[in-house]
Amino acid sequence: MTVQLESLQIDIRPGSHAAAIDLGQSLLRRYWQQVYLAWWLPWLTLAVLLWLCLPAAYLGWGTLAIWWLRPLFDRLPVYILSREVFGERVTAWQALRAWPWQLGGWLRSLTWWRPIMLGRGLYAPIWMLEGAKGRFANQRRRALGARGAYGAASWFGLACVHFTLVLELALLAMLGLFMARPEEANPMLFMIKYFSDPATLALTGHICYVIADGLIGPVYASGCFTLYLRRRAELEGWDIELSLRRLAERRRRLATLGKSALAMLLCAALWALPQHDASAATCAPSKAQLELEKQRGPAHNASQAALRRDIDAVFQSDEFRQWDCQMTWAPKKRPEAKQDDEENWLVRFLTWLFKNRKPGEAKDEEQKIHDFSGAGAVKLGLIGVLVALFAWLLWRYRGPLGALVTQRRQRAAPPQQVLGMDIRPETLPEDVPASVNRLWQAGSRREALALLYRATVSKLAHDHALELHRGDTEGDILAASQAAHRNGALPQPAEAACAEVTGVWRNAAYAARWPDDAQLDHALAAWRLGLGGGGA
Amino acid sequence: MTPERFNQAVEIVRRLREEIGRAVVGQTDTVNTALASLLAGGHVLLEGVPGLGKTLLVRALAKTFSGQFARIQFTPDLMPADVTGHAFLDMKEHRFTIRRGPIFANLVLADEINRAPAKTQAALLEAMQERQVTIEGEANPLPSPFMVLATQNPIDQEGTYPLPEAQLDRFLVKVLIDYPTEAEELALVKQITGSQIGDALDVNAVGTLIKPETVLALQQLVAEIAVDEQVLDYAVRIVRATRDWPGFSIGASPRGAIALVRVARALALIAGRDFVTPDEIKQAALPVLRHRVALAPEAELEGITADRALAGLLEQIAAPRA
Repeated sequence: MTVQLESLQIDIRPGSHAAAIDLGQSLLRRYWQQVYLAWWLPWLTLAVLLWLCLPAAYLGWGTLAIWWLRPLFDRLPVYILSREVFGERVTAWQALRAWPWQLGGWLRSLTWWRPIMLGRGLYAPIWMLEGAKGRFANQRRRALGARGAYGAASWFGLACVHFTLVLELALLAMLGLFMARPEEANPMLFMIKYFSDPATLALTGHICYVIADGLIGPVYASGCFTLYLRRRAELEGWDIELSLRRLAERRRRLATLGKSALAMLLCAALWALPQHDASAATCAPSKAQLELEKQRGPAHNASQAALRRDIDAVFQSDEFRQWDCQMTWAPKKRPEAKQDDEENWLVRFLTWLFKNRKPGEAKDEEQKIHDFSGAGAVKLGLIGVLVALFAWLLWRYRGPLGALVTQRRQRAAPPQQVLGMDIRPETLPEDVPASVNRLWQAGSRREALALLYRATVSKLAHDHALELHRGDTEGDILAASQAAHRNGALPQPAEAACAEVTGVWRNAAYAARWPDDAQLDHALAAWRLGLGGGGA
Repeated sequence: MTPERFNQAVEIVRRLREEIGRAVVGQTDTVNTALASLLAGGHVLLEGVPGLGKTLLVRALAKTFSGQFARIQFTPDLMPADVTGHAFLDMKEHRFTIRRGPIFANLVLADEINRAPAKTQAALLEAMQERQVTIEGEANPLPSPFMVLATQNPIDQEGTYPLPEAQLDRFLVKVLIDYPTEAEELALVKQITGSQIGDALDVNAVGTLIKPETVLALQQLVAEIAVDEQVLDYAVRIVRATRDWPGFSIGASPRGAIALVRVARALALIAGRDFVTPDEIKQAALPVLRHRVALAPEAELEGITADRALAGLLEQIAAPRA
């Protein structure tokens, strides 16, 4: 294919490989209808034919075959895109009719190792577009694959393989989600269960592969095609040639100078020179400079006036001119003043606030005093608000911050209920042994012992920081108290009191064996000593 | 149940534990649970990697009473008749004679039960449930007491036939034998390697203490141990909670609650108490329930075991309200 650079529809330049691949995707997005239609018609036909012709058990070989033939399908997107980038409209039908003529060299393309080459897409246009064969084609491949181009194509190919795999697995998983029973929410379990049949697995794999690769295949082909274009642009200086051609065209229109290449290059050289040099003569002094001149007061005498003239004359020379001329499009009616006010009010406010003067105004003592009453007060107010906010944050997060500073994890709060009993200290009477005695004397034996045991658990959890859980039984609490005693976290009297009260309580609660008065007194004495704070 | 009789029973159980402890070093909980299962008249499924003393425990338990002991090594070619027995034609007397299988014993060790095919397992499990074996249309009652201790290996699952959940339910408890502690292992190695040829564990040190009739009497006594309403309620609440617990897809059946109370009673006797407290229920919960629940797939995928899920459940179920 002869390259008609002047009709190139894309801005191809020797940029990065990633930019080239991205350009390929943009091209695909633009011409996706033709590309995908042209790809899918033969692709689907072949997939269905293989499915119909091959026995179910051998369908896996069909999938392998269609994967093997994929380099031939790569030619369809390349055919379409290579024409579209040069402004030639190609329909899917035209591409399909041309496809058999594009299949030349198929034997070579399908040599055993070529379909495995991840960067093969970069070389596909060498035969297709350049018609290179034999040694020349080899040379072209070497030239095009150099400077990391083949590496980029290979990495892109690897990425596309992964995209295909992910898509294929996602399709399988989606199928699993739809077909699995509700309790088998894991699609992978579904696959293991239902796809254990080789025929089902082969058919499902075939369908999912055809869909996945049918979607990703054109992406790969288009990315590799633009990588190829980028490499050619780099090798053959397409961008320079295009610039020169545009320049030449412009020069042809502007002037009736000769059309020789020499003149074109001359123009290019002129164009490449810094612009301000060429047009400096037509530039007016900058606005800032004129402002500066306006601020100059009248000359005091003739000699000063003469001196100024001399100085101005010196400054008029090119060495001292630093004018900057720009030509831009601007709206005729520009709401200058209003826009300026809108944009700069914050700047003005902040300047006023922190410099204590209005922009452009000199600051004197009187002004300072005047400003302090307004800006100073606001400033102090803002600082006060910030300090208050900081203090509030410290107070609000004092817990986590304290734990962070001491590097200690806060102990979990004791549960409110253990064994179905409320063990909050505030629910206990002031004098537990007295209350127990009172209940016991009143004949409420169960209530009396329940109160005693509840008070024991509450004291252990709150006063001795014993870690208890909602589901702990009497045995668990006793074991915890014994362990705490062994570790030195619980004094012996407390542990003894716990054991004593637990024994009494367990016999009463689960075997209806009530203690006699002496046993109860003994238990209460042990409780007072161990858990009642040593009081009477 | 008189206090004297009860104290006598507690003493017998204490001595049984001591005797078993002569052969089995450590593994207190495992021994207690196996003993509790014997006292409750149930069957035990022991699971553990090879070399942890599963067979030794069973042999030591069998040695403590003078009943019959049989060991059946389950293999893929084991037939139901090899377990239960069969009828054969006696040529001398010209009639069919029944040859009883090894299952006709007081204590049966079914070693590596998951290596036999389903039909052989089914024959054993049916005998366990019915406590009788039908051969040639004739029902043959199994001796009393009758207890099956089956072992299985959690690893090396190639070519095994895992027991179905419905049949696992026939076992009163499933005991997981874990590795011994360092001190226990040290004592074990010292015991085996001291003046002994080979690495066989010696059960000769275990003395025979009781007769099968004593076991029956103990079982009767366990059945009489008092269980408070609140404790029963606690057991039932635990079992019912397994049915709605997020980690389980299938919870335990009412048979689970019954088994829980049976084992708790036996544990109370082992603890020397003639009444059951919530502690025994909690202690029995894992061995009784771990093979009666099915983990939800998501819990299984997260690597949560039945024991872990049950422990979480037990932490949340409040013990009886006073």
